[in-house]
This record gives sequence, structure tokens and C-alpha cells, in this order.
Amino acid sequence: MIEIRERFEVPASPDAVWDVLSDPDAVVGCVPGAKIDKVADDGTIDASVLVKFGPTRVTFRVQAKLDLDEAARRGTISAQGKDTIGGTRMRSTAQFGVTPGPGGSGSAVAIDGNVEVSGRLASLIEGGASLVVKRMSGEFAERLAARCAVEQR
Amino acid sequence: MKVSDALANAFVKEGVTTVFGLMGNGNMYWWHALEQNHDVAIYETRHEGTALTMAEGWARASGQVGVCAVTQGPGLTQLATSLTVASRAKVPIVVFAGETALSDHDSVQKYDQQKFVDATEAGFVPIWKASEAEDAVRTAFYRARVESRPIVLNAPMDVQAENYEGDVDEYEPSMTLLPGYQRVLPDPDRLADAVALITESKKPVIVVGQGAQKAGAGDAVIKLADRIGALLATTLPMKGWLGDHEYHVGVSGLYATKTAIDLFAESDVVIGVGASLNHYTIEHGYIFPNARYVQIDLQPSIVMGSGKRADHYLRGDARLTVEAIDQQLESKGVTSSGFRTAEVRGMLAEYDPDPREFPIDPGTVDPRQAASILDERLSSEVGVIHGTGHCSGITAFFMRKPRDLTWAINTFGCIGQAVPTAIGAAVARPGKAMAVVDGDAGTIMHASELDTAARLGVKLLIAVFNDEALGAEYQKFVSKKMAVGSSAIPTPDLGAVARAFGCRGKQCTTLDEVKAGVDEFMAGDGPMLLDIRVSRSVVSVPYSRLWFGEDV
Repeated sequence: MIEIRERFEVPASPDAVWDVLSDPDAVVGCVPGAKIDKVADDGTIDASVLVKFGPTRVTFRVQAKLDLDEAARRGTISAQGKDTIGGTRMRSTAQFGVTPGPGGSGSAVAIDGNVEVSGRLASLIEGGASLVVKRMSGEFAERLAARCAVEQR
Repeated sequence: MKVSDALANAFVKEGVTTVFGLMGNGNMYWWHALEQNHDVAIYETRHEGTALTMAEGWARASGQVGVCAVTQGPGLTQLATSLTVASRAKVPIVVFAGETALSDHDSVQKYDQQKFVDATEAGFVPIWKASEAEDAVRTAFYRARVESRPIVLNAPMDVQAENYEGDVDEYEPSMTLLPGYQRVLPDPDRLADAVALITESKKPVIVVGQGAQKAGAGDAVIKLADRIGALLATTLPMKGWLGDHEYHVGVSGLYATKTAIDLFAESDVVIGVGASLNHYTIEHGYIFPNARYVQIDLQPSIVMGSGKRADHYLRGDARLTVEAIDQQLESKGVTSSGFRTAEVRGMLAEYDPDPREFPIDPGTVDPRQAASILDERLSSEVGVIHGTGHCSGITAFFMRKPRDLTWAINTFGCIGQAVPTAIGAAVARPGKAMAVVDGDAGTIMHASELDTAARLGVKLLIAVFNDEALGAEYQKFVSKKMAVGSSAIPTPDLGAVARAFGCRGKQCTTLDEVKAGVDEFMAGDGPMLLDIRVSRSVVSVPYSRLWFGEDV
């Protein structure tokens, strides 16, 4: 089980940041290597994610679901999938929330979650997987922050 | 004549010329009898396990059945790891093992030897009575050859001491029972299916394993590869084989270069020749994400490391099958440039095994540069054996010269095997220099065999990549941000240790000292150890991938 914990601030209002975070296209667009194939009527998202474990590239077909609490500006994204070669599964859950930034301006975003990789790939990537996830979640936070800042303008 | 004499006679009749062993109660009379025959050289070692490993290295290098001799009980149990290694490596060896007298139930060395041998995955041939002695030796050698694995010949002391009644001059060796290797061709329909797949593919990679070399398939593989524009790659144990071909990309698997991995991702067909294509070689299938598979091997069927079978599995002799594929392609007029482009040639020529920069700790050298110096200064006639551990991930990437002999020792994943393997191989190749590169922990584990190397006078360079640590564990602790202390063990000057045992020895803390040391080894005779102090700051490419998730 690999933990995800990201904290970052965005120079945009909580409402503007929430607009981005509650939009599946925008969120998935910020995940490195991810693209949406289909969004079903019930909100289930079919996506593919290309992950680079060292030089090995693995594409996961993922089903994700976004649960939103509009009033509290909090949400949960849960995803599970398996890779296209067929030997590895992943499962991930993450909670995110937007609050007014410290000092009264901008917003603060908190993301907490975990990722589980099981199957054949697990032995191949050994300890490196946690660093890969850490790098990806860091990049996700950066992209999200940049996107929110753009939306603000 | 005693049974022990008859047993020794049978070993000689089996063509045995070289034995590695450690003497004890259970083998000393057999040993004494064998020693009377001046065509047999018996090399005494300082540990039973290393005797077995030397016999393994000797057998692999000579292509003959290796012989190891141990005494009863504790003499046998010292073989636990090395016998398991040899079983997994499928090397034919006969182990002469004494046993306490069948009638003696109170001996302190009494032990259920068969149970132990079973656990090492080796075969077991017991001698229950005197009249069976010669048959048992013949059976042991027959099974070692046919099953291609170690067989323990179990000889109780009281049986050895009995009189032997047979006519030992009439002993018929096991070779007379063997019909000889039969080269078989695969089913013609399966062959046609495989040819059809290869014909419609555009980016082939041929991965060769030990079976390809055993079958002498090298030339046939190159001819096929040139016809269809294939890249050539090897399994890790076959590292360096066919290495002077310009489209050879090295090892497939975790030890693959980044360039090779990028090219493998484009491949649409992988042809495995005498290779099991296990999960190490094909990284569970992930290293060839877009490929279908043709696999040639002698087993009835194989499940590859991806958990699947090859699209077309051809059961047959590697050489004959590759030749048959090539002939069918030729008759259909199939040729393809495949991967053979100026761009790919450029990628392979410009490849830098590891362009990263690391700060180098004072008093140490960059192990990558030390490995390059070894590779450059040891001519291609010098066989090189890579050990197991963090340092092997560095030497495997930076020692790429095609050589008469290149072995990567990784069976059973244990340290300590490389030096005794190299001593055995050196004995099998008289007049030819050998080098072994291993870590400090692996070398020190059997440092007592420096005495054996000195006594035997083998021209063996023992290049120790000394990071004063259990390097693999050290790097894992670093990646997990844990305290490294318990994995870092200071070592004495191993050059001085080697000199004390009668070898030549030097400690190297600069690259110039490494150069001078290698040159001194080549210029002189006998074994020499270089204690090359290497910087722990340099993380090998495989470990950077595995433990740090780096795209290198």
C-alpha cells in the first residue's frame, strides 16, 4: 500500500478551484499519462493511464468514480483497473478538499489517499513504485495548481 | 580389492580427470585409491561447498561431468547452498559422498543423507551392498549426463571396506549406454505457423538462451536475424554471446540497456531460441508490450514469464529449427530490413550505459569507471565471470566486450559463488587467464579459497568491487530512507589478505591503481586479488530502476 499526501496552495478562490476539482475531465487531465475514454451516465469514468516504472511503460485501463460533496467542497475519487498485458491490478482511493487559503486569500488543497499495486508487476517494481507514485502525485498537484491559476484569469 | 578401490577404478573408467573435494573419513580410502592413478588430478579445497562450486565451474567450462568428493554427515551438509545452485543451474556433476557405516547407529555423524540431498534438488544413488558398487557409479554418471544435474553417490563406510568380487577391468562406462544427442525437428505444421507469423511481422527480436549455445545455433541465429532484420539479445546467463554483431542489443530483462528497452517496445515478434523466456528475461511480458512470441526449446511445453504460452511453441533442436525457419523464409523469398536502419545503428553506437553523475566518496573510485578499465585492459581471450549483488549490476553494464567466456552467476540468487566457480573454470582452461568480478561480501564469504587458488596457481584475477557493505541491502535501505548502519561492514585490506594466502594482491583507491593492478596481473603468473574501493554513492542501473523508479 502506497500512501499519497499532497498539500498545495493555489492563488484562486475556493469556488474557482472547486470548479476544476469537480470536473472529471480537468482532474484526469492533470494525472500524468492519463486520458478519458468515456464517461458513463452514472458518472463512471473509463480512462487509461500510462505509468512509467523506471524505463518500463505500463498502460492501465482504469474505471474511476468521483463522489462529490459540493457544500463541503470535498470529494472522493476511487479507481481500479488492470494493465493491458493482464498481469497486474491497481486500486486507488483519494480524498480531496478545498479550503480558503491561509491569510484569507487563495485556496488550500489537500489530497490524501493510497494506491495498491498487485500481481506480476509488483515484484518488478519493488520499492521503486512508491517513488513513482510520489512523483506522479507531485506532478498532479503541480498541474492542478497551474490549471486552477489559469481558470482564475 | 576393496569396494572403495573398485569405486575409484570405475570413476577413472568413466573418464574422470579432475576432482575437487575435501577429505574426511568417508571418502579418504576412495580418494587414496584414486590418487594412485596419475591421470586424475584431485584438488583439495578448504570447504566442501566451494569444492562443489569449483566442480560446477569446471564442468561448465569443460563440457564434461564435474566430480566433487565429500565425507559423511557434516561434509555433505556443507553442500546445502552450492548443491542447490548446481541443481538449479542443471550442471552435470557426480558427488562422491561417504556415509557412516550402515551398521553404526550411534555415530555422531549419522545423518539421513537422502533426505538432505532431496532438499537440494539433486539426484541420489545409494550403494547398499558391495556387489552394486560399479553399477551405482555407472548409474550416477548416466543420470548426471541424462538428467543434466548433480547426482550424489552415497557410499557407506562399511560397504566401502568390504571386498569387491567383480572384474573391475570389464567396467563399462555410462557413455556406452547413451545413444548420443538426437537433434529433433518440430512438427511441420507448427513450423509453418511460426514461419507465417514471422513473415507478417516487421520488428523482430531474437532472444538467445543457453539452449541455443548448447545446440551450436549461433551461426544459424545470425543468418536468420540478418534475413529478417532482427535485433539480437540474450538472457542474462548468456550475456555477451554473439556480442560482436552490430545489431546485438545486449541482455533482455532488468539488465537491458535503456536503448534496448525503447527498441523492444516497438517489437512485434520475439523469437526465443533455447531460452525459457522466464519473468526475468521478458519482465513478465512488460518489456515486449506489443510482441507476439515464437519459442524454440526442447521441453514438451513452456509457460513463459508472462504466465502465457508462446503464440507458436516449437519443440526442437535450436539449430535445426532456426535453420528450418530460415530455409522456409528463403524459399518464400522473405527478407526484411526490420530494425536494421541507420537510426537504430546510430542509437546502438552512441549508447552510454549510464550518463548520470554521482559524487564520489574520498578514497574510492567510481565503480563504473573501474569496470570500464577492467573491460578495456582484459583482452577478449580473458574469460570474465560476474558475481551476484549490487556491483554486478554495474559490471554487467560496463563490461561489454565480447569474450571467449562470459558468465553472469545468478542461479538461486546467492552471494559467494563467483570466486569458487571461477577457480573451477580456470582449472578447466589451462593457459588461459580468467577474471572474476564480485563484491566484498561475496568474496570474503569464501576467502579461504584464496589458499586453494594460490596452491593451484591458476591465472585468475579476483577484482573485488569493495563498497564495505552488503551493497544490495545498503542501497535498499537508502531508497527507503532507513538507517544503513547494519548493512555497512568495514573490511580489512583484502589485497593484504590475498598476499597472506600466497596470491598476489593490491588495494586500489584510484583509477590509476586499478589500471596498474590489471596490467600487473596480466604480466605475471598465478592468482591476484584487486581490492578496488568503490563509492557507495553510485547506484547501479538495475537498482535505480527497481528501488528508485528511475527511468535510466
